[in-house]
Parts: sequence; structure tokens; C-alpha cells
Amino acid sequence: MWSEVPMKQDGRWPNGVRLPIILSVHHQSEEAAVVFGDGQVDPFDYSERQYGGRRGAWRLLEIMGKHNVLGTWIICGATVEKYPAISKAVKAAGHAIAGHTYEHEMMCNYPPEQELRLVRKTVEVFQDRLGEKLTGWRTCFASHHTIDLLLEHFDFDWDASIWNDDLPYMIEGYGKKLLEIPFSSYSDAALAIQITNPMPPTPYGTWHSNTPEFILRAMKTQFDALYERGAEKPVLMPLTVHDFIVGRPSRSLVLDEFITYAKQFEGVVFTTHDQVCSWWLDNYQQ
Amino acid sequence: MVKKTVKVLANIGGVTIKGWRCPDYRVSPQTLDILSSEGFAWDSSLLNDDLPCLFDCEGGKLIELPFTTSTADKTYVGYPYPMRGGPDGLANVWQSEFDALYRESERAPRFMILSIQTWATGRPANLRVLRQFIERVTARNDVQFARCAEIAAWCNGKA
Repeated sequence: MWSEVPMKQDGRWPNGVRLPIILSVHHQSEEAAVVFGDGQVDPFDYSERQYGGRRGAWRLLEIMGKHNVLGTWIICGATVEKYPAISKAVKAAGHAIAGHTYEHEMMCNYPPEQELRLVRKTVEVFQDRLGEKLTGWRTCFASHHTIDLLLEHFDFDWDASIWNDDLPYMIEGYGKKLLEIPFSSYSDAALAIQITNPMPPTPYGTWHSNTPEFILRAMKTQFDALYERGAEKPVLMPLTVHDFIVGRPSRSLVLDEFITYAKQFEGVVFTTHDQVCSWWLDNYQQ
Repeated sequence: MVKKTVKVLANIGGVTIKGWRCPDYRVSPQTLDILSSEGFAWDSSLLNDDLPCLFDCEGGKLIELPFTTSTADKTYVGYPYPMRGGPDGLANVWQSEFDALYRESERAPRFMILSIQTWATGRPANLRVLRQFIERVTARNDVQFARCAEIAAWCNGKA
């Protein structure tokens, strides 16, 4: 069992930081491809998502490099095995790396012992293939056991799987602590999700995406609101993009333009979960 | 089905088809082998790359010209999607795709593959978007409209 540790005062960012933006790049290649009822992987969705591993991730890395900004790359274990070059390039560029299950398993559908096995397998893949000891985790659809398993069996510093708050909070259990850094529903995937349901097998394809204009506007509106609030209160902007969605040429301009826009404002920093974790803990008081 | 399609298009249209795109971009494990054995030069059903690639198939080599659904007209103007922006949304996504690829083409080879459906882009307001798009991009002297067969031939070094 775990519990939330109440704070005596809000955490704070270092002087000069008004709005930290954590850009999470979900690099999951074809791992989440839709499987038909007969067990066949949907060839359309497979190919669509595979683009992310083959091309999209490189494009996103290039854009972040061009703007000289850091973020957290949330990567599936199987993706590291299939596309090792990109994970190595991400690491070399100084981005933070976190685990995103092995084959994008929706953990809410798995019993705890299987979830534990999959988290362990993923952690080992990063260690073996990248020499990377994972400090953070974002599961794919948290189960009711996820936090317990992370605390009891691993030594993660942070988790970013829950979307029930605007700001980080501390979780305690099994003699350990874990900082939960919540994320928001304003991801490119949420903005791309289908409005109606004409084709059940492809819930997330770019087929269903809103226009680049629409996605950019939603990102900017969220930014504007947080930046305004940041004058008086601590704020944090989690922003998720996927290799197969914003990694496409037309949507890549969204990220390019959003970074250009946000960087004009004083006190805005593009940073990583690890950095935010350490900033929050420095100011955290029980 | 491939043989039947080839035959119908030859009999009625008087054309020998050398290219193929699977309905709904759903390739079976045999599709590319069948196409190469039937003498096809290219396929354009996969969505996993920016650039053409060459497949070694049972019947010989086949050029794959990867496609994208991210610019497909029906996503923006086909029922019930006009709520995603309609003709303006279509114009926005085509222009964004072009701008990104054009920018990247300074450093690496790029091509843009755009699919339009008679029932979607064929409607007047959407047709205007297409005309304006063509006018805008042909104003540049380093952009060329090409057939899939030509691109496949360039890839084969037969240009």
C-alpha cells in the first residue's frame, strides 16, 4: 500500500524559472498496433505506427536539436531492441529517458504478476542495450497495482503515469518514496483522436488527426493560460508528442512552431522529468 | 483479384497497369510477392517511410512508394469530418506537409505523395483548395509533379 505525503508548502522552481515545459516524446514505433479479433495485427495501423520508429523519431530529435531544447523520451523496451540507433542518439543528445512498458501493454488489462514481469523486462532491456539505469517510468494505462509495483520492486525516482493533478506530489510506501509528475490530456494523440467511430480498428491513426493548425492552437492556449498563472503560482506544462503523429512532416511544423513561440517568453524552460524532480525535491517540505 | 483487376483495366481502359495500392492500405503477407510475380513495377500501400524503398520479392524487385494518410482528403472533408476544418483544414494540412518537406529537401531527397478521392476533393470547394495548392507550389521552379511510375523509374536509375 502507498499513500500521498502531504506538503507543508508548495514546491518552487529555481529563481528565474516561471514555466517549465516537459516535452515527452513517446517513442513506441509499431508496438501499439491494433490487433484484430482474429489475432491478426492490422497491417494499416502497423505500417502507420512503424513510421514513428523508422522516421518520425529522427525528425523530432532533429527539431529538438535545432532549438537546443531537452525533453524526456518515453520509450518502449521492444522499440529499443528494434531501433537501437535512435535511442543511442537520444541518449547522446542529453535527453532524459524513461520506460514505457515493453510492447506498449495496456497494464490495466494485466494481473499484477504479469505487469511486474513486464516492468522488470523493460528495465533490463534499457540496462543491457543502452547501459541506462531507468530513473523514471510512464506506463501505458496504469493499473490499480502500478504504483505499488514500482515502489515495492524498483528504485524509480519518479513516475509520470497519472493525470490527476497539475503539479508533482510525493508518494510513500514500502519504505520508499516516488515523485508523481502528472501529465495532461493535451497530447498530440488526444488532439488527434477520432471524433466519431467509423473504423473501430484504428483509434489513434493520423487518419483521424485534426489539422496542424488546430493542434498548434490548443498547445498555445494551454501554454498561455499556464504562463499567466505562473506569475503567482507554481505551474508545470507536460506536453506529449508521439513519434508517429507529430513525427509526420505536416505535424512536425507544429512542434517546431510551438517551441519557437514558447521560447520567446521569459522564464520558460524546456526541461526533463529528472530535472523537475530534483527541483521539486529541493523545495519540498513535509 | 489482382489478375482480374489487371484484365478489367486492360479491356475497358486499354491500359497496362504497373502500379498498385491496396484498399485501406492493408497489405497481406502475400501482396508484394503477388504483385512482383504479375509484373508490377511499384506498390504504394505502406505508410512507414518518407522515401521509396526496394523490395526483393518472389517475382523480382518491386519499388515501394510509401504513402501517408495524414494528408488524405477524406480525413478533412469526407463525412463526418468537415468538423475538422473542411476545405480550410485540407488547405492547412497540405500546405504544412509541403512546407515541411520542401524545407527538408534542402538537405535530403524528399517527395510528397498526395491522395485525393473523386468523391471528396471532387466537390467544388475542395477542388478550389486543390487548384490553389497546385498554383502555389508550381510557382516554384524546383517543384515537379510526377507520376508514381516516373518516381519508380528514377529509383531504378532508368530516368
